[in-house]
Amino acid sequence: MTDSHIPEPLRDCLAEEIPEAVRQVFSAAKALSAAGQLQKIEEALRYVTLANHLADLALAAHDQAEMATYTREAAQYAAQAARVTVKAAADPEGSAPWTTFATVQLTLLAKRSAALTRRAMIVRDTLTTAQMMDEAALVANAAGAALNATAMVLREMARLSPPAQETTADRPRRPGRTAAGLTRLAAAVLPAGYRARYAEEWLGLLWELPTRRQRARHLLSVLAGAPRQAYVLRRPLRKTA
Amino acid sequence: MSREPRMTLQTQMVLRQALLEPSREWYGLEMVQATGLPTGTVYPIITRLEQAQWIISRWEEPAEQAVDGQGRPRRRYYKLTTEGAESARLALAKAHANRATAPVPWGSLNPHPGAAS
Repeated sequence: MTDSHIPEPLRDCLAEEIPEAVRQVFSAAKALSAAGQLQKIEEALRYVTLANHLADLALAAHDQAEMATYTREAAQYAAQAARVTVKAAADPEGSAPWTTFATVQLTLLAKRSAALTRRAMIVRDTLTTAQMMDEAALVANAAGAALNATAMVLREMARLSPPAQETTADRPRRPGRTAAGLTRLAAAVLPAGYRARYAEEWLGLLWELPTRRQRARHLLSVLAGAPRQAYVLRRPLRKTA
Repeated sequence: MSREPRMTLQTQMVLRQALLEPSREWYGLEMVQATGLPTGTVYPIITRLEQAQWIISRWEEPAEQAVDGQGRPRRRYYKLTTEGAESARLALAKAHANRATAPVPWGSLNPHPGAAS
């Protein structure tokens, strides 16, 4: 599809509003990360990444039906990002500072994101070929608004979060002997010239993961991925014309 | 003749994430957390991108480590090269244009947003 076949409001939304909202989300996430709260919003960030990817796919669509499909999928992921963000902000354990100070704002944002989700769903069900592009523009707009709402909640969470207090759990900690040994074992299958580099790098990641579960997951993933890594390092990149 | 990594969906996710802030340096764990992909998937992709010279890498300097210090090991930082960023954008566009007409069945991805709503 050429640009001239895309209605301007839809193109603006997909090419500018959504990417800008995604940038805002990641900027707020960075601030939250500095406050040691990143793990609360990891799920939301995955949905945001998917929404961004689908908005790009919509822009590169071959025809209007495909563009509408990708747009509504982007809207679904954007709405889901807003929902899980608000859920994270609500913090049922009540231990987060924003639970006390921002209840009203967050409730409003939660309602707004839920309304956007419903709107995206309703619009999806009522899409017709004739009105496809107009409806897709509405859906894209809802996606942009949901991502903006996500960014707003994250900014609020970051603003109300105290600076990260260094705790024993947060402090980088030396991996146990078994974990270090398994990391070196994974690196041992790599070509000799790369072993030291990747052993150091993978071991370094183990230091930075705060929970035992995350460290175990990382370790298993490294072990499972080491043969593939060895293959990639040994096999030169395929040349294409 | 050019050398290009294969544009799998995971490679596209890594590139898209890197292109959000093309001039920023990032390290492996950041990419793992941002994309939600496992470490064992992200590293071969990073390696391929490095082989293609789309990204460059360096070890963290001791002075940088001292800023947030805490006695952790040095990180390996990665960054898109100028040519790499341009090639990545082109490759992503090409991947979109070349794919089959039928849309990817995103609905089969887990977790599915519809299921939780």
